[in-house]
Amino acid sequence: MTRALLLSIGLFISLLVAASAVTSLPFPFVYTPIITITGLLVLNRVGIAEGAVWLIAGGFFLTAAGSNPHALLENAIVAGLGALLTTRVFATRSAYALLGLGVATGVSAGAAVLIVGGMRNLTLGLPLIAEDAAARAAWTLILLLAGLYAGFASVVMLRQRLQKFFVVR
Amino acid sequence: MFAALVLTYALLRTIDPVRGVIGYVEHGVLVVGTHLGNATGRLLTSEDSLTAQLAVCEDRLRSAAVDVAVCAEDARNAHERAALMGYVEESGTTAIAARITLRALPEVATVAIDKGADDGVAAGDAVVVDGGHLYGVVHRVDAGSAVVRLAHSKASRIPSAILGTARTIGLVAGQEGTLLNMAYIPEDTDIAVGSVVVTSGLDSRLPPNLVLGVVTSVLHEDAAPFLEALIEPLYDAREWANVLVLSVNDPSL
Repeated sequence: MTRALLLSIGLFISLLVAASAVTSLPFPFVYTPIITITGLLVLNRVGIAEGAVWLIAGGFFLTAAGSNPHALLENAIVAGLGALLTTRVFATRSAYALLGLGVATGVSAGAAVLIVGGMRNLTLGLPLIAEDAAARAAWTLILLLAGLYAGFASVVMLRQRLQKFFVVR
Repeated sequence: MFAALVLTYALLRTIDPVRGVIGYVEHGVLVVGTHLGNATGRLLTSEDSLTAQLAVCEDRLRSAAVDVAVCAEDARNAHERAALMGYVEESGTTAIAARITLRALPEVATVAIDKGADDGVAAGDAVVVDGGHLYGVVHRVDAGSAVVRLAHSKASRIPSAILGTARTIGLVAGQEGTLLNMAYIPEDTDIAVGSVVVTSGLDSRLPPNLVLGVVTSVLHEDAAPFLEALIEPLYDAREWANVLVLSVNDPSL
């Protein structure tokens, strides 16, 4: 119960930051995928089910609010692929496993968004500026990896501090 | 249990008082993000770029000083004539202050505000900042919130004119980035770099003379029947966290 409540508060704060704060930053920081970063951290450190719910719920809220129309698609791919890779490939809780997860899921989600954009261009005639779309996808991947590493380092440092403070030896 | 709490949060968001509180918190976070974004933007801007921007601003200040003198004289004349006629004009426009609670990605170019149909906001209303610069147009309205499509959105189309003229001379639309494109300008139009572009009032829900920006270049192709102009807005959409919605009080619209 406590863990579920803390995760819910964490998701709420992440949504606030993703939809209201990060989108006010200049390029390229405006493309920092906060929900994907925090979702992968939860998936790696807490559990696959919790991470999947975090990613899909966060993507749904961002898409429904109109902040990022591709958020649900991206995060659904990250959740599915992340769950698979965490059990089969990146099973440890190390920084390398987390970064490997980030690269695999980030590239897949970015490719999916580019493919959807290409299909919309072909079928609906909507404009697709390939250079801009590729630059956005690249920056999103770079910021995802940077955010994952920073998040991992913060979580490890916080855990050590809390253990040192609360555990009496 | 986590999924159940997430579903509970989704249901709570549909209740107006809860949504109001969440909107208040979202606005606070957005203000923090806006300040951070402005500071980051200043840190990332190169010295050459700042020097060039300063030179442009100084040129505009000099030409604006002349315009201010002319406008002051015109305003004095208009005030005197209105006073002589004993004429009281009712504009029929209500101004509704609103807070921005959410910003979409730059390519989506929309923001969400915390006022909606219950507060008198209607689709098509003009949204302004800084005393008369057009920020966007209300695109979608819910009971307690609304989505505003920014003026530089690629989907936005605004009938416009040159400041000081009453005739609609072109259609302003957004394009990649924050620049605006004015199309369908008749070839005989007196338009030059530095001209101030405003709304023409052709769209009955958009009041006239709301500033869109300044012409930075005029494009003319020999085979094309119309001119095109590039317009630079005089504000950065990311810098604003509070806006004013101008709602027209005409029941027939």
